[in-house]
Amino acid sequence: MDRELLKGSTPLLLLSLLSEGPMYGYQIIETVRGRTDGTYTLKEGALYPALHKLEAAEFISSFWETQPNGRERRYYAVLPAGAAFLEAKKREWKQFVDMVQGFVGPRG
Amino acid sequence: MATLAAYLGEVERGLSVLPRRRRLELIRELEANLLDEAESLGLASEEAVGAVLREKESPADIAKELVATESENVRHRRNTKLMAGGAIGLATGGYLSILGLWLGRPWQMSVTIGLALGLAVGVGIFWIRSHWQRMHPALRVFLAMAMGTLLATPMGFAAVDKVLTFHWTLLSYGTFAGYLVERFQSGRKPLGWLGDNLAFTALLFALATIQQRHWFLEWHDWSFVTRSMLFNFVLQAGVWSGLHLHRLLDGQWLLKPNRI
Repeated sequence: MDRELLKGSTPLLLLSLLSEGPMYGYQIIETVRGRTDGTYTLKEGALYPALHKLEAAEFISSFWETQPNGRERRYYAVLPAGAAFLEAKKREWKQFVDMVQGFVGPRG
Repeated sequence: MATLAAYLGEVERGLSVLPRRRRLELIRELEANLLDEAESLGLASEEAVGAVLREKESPADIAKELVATESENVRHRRNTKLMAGGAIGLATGGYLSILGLWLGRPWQMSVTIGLALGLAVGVGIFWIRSHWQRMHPALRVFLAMAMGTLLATPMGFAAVDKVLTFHWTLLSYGTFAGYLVERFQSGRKPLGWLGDNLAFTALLFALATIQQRHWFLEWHDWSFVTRSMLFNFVLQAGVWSGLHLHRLLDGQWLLKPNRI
């Protein structure tokens, strides 16, 4: 798989994951690893800058939560602007896939 | 865990250019991540933790990525807030300048009102609203209106005739701008625009009645009411444009190719 393509899609991938509910860093890393069967591993040096960038764009926000064992985790959650942006990009993505499918997909 | 502390210490050294508070927050976050991983993998010994850390990016590389993004984020936030607020200032100041030319009134007042609405209220609201984004929508609107009113203080001095007087009724434009910023966030239909405009114009009339300002007497003239509504519409359009410009710039910046 083209890793550059994956890297460019990181903000959308993160927005899409967080639209399912608030998540903390390690949970995101593990979810991505699990869903891509280990093809794509997000490293901390890529994940946190991407999350902070999404936060700077006010598409997501973060909050700290203390666990029953006393440890703290920083959760990230999608904001309305992020959800709207994701929806718009999903529509664009579907149009793009349909168009490419017209060329590379099976012809009926 | 001494190995983990040493790793984090190295990352922190790489973050030395950042403000202390931010640096500590980033380290706290990274530490939480690594502890989650250690817990998930059931790592108990120093050797096991050390082996996992050796597989990771070097502390210097992580710090470099974080520092580069931090400065880029700060620059982006500053620029988008300025441009979004500028859209409000340009719309209102521009409209008043044209109207001032038409009516033969001094241009200074138009520029002052445009600057006060754009830079004080507009930039201010776009800047501080990030702090209340996770709150209930109704509370967000209330906070935006309260902060808009406060930020409009320079506007109170903007309509100077000959003597420097504070016109508190002008603060209501800050209240309206604050309301609009939050209201437009979730979309607004044309009827909503009209309703907001009518309600705010009625509020202005009520305030003018209470204060008995000189322009209270002008309200019997329909052209004055129309002009007032038109200005409120320009303010609405300015806030709408500012918000959409903000979102457009955010989206473009987010998806532009970078190191990540």
